[in-house]
Amino acid sequence: MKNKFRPFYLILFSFIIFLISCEKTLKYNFDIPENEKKIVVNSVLCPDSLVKVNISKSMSIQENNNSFQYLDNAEAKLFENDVLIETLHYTKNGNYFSSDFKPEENKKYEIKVSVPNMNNVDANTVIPAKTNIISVDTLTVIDHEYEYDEKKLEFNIKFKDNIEIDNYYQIECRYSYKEIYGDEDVFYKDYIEADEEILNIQNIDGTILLEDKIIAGEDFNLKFQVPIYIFTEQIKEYRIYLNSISKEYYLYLRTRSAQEETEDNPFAEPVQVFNNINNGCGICGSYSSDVKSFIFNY
Amino acid sequence: MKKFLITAFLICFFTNIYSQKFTISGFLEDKVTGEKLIGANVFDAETYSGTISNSYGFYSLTLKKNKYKIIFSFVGYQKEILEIDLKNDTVITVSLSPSLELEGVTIRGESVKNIVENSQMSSINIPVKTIKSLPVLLGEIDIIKTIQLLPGVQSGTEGTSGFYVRGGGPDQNLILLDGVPVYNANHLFGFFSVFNADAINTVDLIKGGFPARYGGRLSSVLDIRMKEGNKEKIHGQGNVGIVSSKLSIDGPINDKTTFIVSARRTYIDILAQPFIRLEARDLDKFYAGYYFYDLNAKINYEFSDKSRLYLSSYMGNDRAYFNSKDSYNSDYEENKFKLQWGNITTALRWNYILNKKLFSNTTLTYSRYKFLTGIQTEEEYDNSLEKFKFDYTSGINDLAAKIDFDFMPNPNQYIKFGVNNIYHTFNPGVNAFKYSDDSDVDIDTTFGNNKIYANEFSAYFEDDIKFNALLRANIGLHFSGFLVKGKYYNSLQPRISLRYMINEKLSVKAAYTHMTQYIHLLSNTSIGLPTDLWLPVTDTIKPQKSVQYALGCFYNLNDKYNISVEAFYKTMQNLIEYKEGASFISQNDSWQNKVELGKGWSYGLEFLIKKDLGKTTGWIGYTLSWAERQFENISFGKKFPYKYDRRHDISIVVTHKFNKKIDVGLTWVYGTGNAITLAKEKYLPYNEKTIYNYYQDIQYIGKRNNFRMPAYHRLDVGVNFHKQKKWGQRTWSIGLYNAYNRQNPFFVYFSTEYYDTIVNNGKKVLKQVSLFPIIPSISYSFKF
Repeated sequence: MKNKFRPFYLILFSFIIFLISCEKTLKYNFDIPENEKKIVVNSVLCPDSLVKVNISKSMSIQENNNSFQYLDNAEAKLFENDVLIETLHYTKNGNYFSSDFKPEENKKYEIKVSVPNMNNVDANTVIPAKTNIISVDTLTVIDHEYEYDEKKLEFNIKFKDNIEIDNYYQIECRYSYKEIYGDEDVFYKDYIEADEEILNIQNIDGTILLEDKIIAGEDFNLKFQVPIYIFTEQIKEYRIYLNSISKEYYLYLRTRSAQEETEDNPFAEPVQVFNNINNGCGICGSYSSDVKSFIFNY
Repeated sequence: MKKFLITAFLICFFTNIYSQKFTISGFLEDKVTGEKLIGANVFDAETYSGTISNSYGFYSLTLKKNKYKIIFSFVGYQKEILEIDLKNDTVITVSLSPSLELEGVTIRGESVKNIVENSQMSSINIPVKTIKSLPVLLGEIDIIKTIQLLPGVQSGTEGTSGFYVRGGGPDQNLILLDGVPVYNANHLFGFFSVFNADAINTVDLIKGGFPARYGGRLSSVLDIRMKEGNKEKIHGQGNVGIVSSKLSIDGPINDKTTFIVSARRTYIDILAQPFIRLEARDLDKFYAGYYFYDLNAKINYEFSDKSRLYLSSYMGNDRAYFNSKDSYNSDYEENKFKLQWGNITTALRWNYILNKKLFSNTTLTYSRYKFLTGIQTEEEYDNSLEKFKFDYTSGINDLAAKIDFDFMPNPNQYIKFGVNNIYHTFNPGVNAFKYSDDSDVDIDTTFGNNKIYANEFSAYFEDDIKFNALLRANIGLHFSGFLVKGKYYNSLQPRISLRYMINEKLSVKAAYTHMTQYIHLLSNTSIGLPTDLWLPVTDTIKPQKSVQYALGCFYNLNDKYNISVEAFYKTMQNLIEYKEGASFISQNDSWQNKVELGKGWSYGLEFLIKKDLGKTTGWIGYTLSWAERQFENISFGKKFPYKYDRRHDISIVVTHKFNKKIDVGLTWVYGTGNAITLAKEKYLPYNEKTIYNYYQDIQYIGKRNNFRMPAYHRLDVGVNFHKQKKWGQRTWSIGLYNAYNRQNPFFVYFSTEYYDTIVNNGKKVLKQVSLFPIIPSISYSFKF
């Protein structure tokens, strides 16, 4: 129902524009000396994958976009439960990888980054334990919301929340179809949405985020629908992911999306994006996934 | 503590009882209009023991059997001295003549002394005359914009009528019109306030040291009393301005009844109609516009000397609309849209003098604020008809009953006590949706939040005691309770104000007050809008509480100037703020999950020099203050400055009367820029492994409200030309708002500058948008 105030704001804005006397450029300079810029660390760990850390440098809001500088001279060390595992090796575009180490659930990982002439930064995360999907049911439904009837595929995902700990979940849906010019399957993200009115559910970037506050200790069911596109005939596989995500990553996803949403509204309070990099910026989060797959033959 | 207070009260009660005493009581009135005089002095010329008239002009003074010279005086009136041989209880209604404008000398001292001598601090009375003679935006006289010029009171965003008192929020002001709370005091998205100065008798603002009779809000009480109507003959006054016109008529209906009716309406919509039609001449039908109006009415009936009845009402509405129809052969499409909001307040009160010392006032009030927006479309295409209608309403309704008593046992005590009960109905947003077409399925549904019913009650007791010539105190207790959805909250709020006379011209005052507020205002923008929602406390959202300490020095300079310096320190608990990233309230009770409770602090110094009488009147105010907030999950739990944290705030307000024909007004304001949140740095986002994901750069914000907008300052000047005509008086007012055309910040934003210079190409710059340039205004007013 976000739209119900649109006419109201339109009138308000037109009224304000009518009154606006002028606009002028203020002479504020937000340039930041090179050595005061922050190290940016972006890394989200998951079991069964190599550790990947992207390291770059922040810049003044006034600088031209697309000129972010990746740092290739950083020393990035990975610790597991406070024990040094290895120094990550640089590949390209600011990415540092573990050689063959893959992190595990329920363990704490710490990343320490040092760059010459910049402040050292560090961050840590504990990889949440995987939550298993009990079942995913599917159903083809007809949506009458619009003038034309729309065919949709409805998923009903069921899982059990662990009452002992705070959990944060992300539900994703991906689909694949045979590329015309290749044999390899490519998985695309399908944008899904659930009813936000259920407490604490957020539809963010086409995925569903939720906290376990409302579902502690119970089986949890959630329904969501995806449109069946005309080219769906080509789709052969859907994958439904239940990601147990760390609190940091949850807050990061929420606030990042909120910042984007409020960016163009001069009357809304700008949102601070969650940041858990000490002395720096970025995110060090983690998740572990369970996945159910469906093959469809149309 | 409680025991101590009770004992103190009892001692004060009985100390003066055992000697033969009689009471002089009655009403104080304006000789010309018969309007009651509120806060006028009545005292014995020799001993200076005395009292003041209450909100209904009633006074009562009990003295020992003796001969007295009793002086009745009031600011702007010639004093009246009566010699009385007090042998029995006496009832005297005294009428004071307004002093000729230029001869205010005789009673000049009284008003100045009063401020130094009374126990109330952090309180200011603004004469309606001053409000009317000041230059204002577009010539619209505005009480709240004048209030914003006082020290300790800050205006919010440019041009708007919200006000922020001592670091508090806009929801923490108790705005009373004839004792009835007004929930949204704004017209035109906040650019004008709803009070029509022609219908107003007195305006008092209290910022601290709240007497126990007030409660329910944390930061201020703005007590506005409507006029009662001329007792002698029918009078009228009116005004034709750029934005609106208004007319008031008041007078007697018979010996016992007086009335006042005052109305105002804007006419932008009517004037703009031809242009709108011209623009939309291709359509069959097109109306669009915006207007607001308000209406004040009051009628008073005097049953006897002891009993009076008042019925007062205010109604105001803002409405924006458009209505269009376009047809082709038999097909057509019709669209209607409306947006409206407004208040209705009504008070029925009955004054009854129970005995010479005990005055009672029983009041029934109704207050309603309603916001409504609706869209309706009707479309016929190939003989198939489709209709769609959507309405959204929100608001608050209050029904209240209260009874207040004023008890004046002796000249050294003025006791007030009473009880109040308010039944609130909150409507947090209801949607009504209707749809029909040629198919069999029609939709007619209502959904949204259920109404919330709550009951708020309070009881108070306060005693203004003169312990001796030097020490005077107002000691009181305010108890309140709130019941909502089976949840009950209550609070006991001590209120203490002390005054100590250092010498006859200098006093020191101190105050300690606790306040509790059971309703919250949810606002998703930084400017007050009619969409803002009032909501009650819940299980998790606790009542707002504050404790305020104030200390001040009051000095009377040459019986002409009041000079005061006050320091205050206020703490606030359970303030609400949207959680980071939470957006507007949705369709159920989940709003409480979207807000966060936190703390606030404010402290500062206020300096005021004020002159109420003579050719030149006005004041200079300066405030040095700090206001901070802290929420666990906002700004990473760090303290941050409140949006309207204003380090320096200066206002200079001067009116000068050259002669009977010409007077001028001038105001200059300066305020430190508002604190806003601005990202100064940015960084790369984390990119998930899925393809087709693109995220914007992340803006790095170290702390909320980390940036100061440029300072705000503005000069307004105005001249009033009066002329006596056969039928009465006319006045032409010419004004300049923002006389030196300062571009004050309304909001700032980043914008990318292309091709400005080669070096700057693609560089982001900070742009400032300003609202009001220099705006001349002219208005014509008349009085008969």
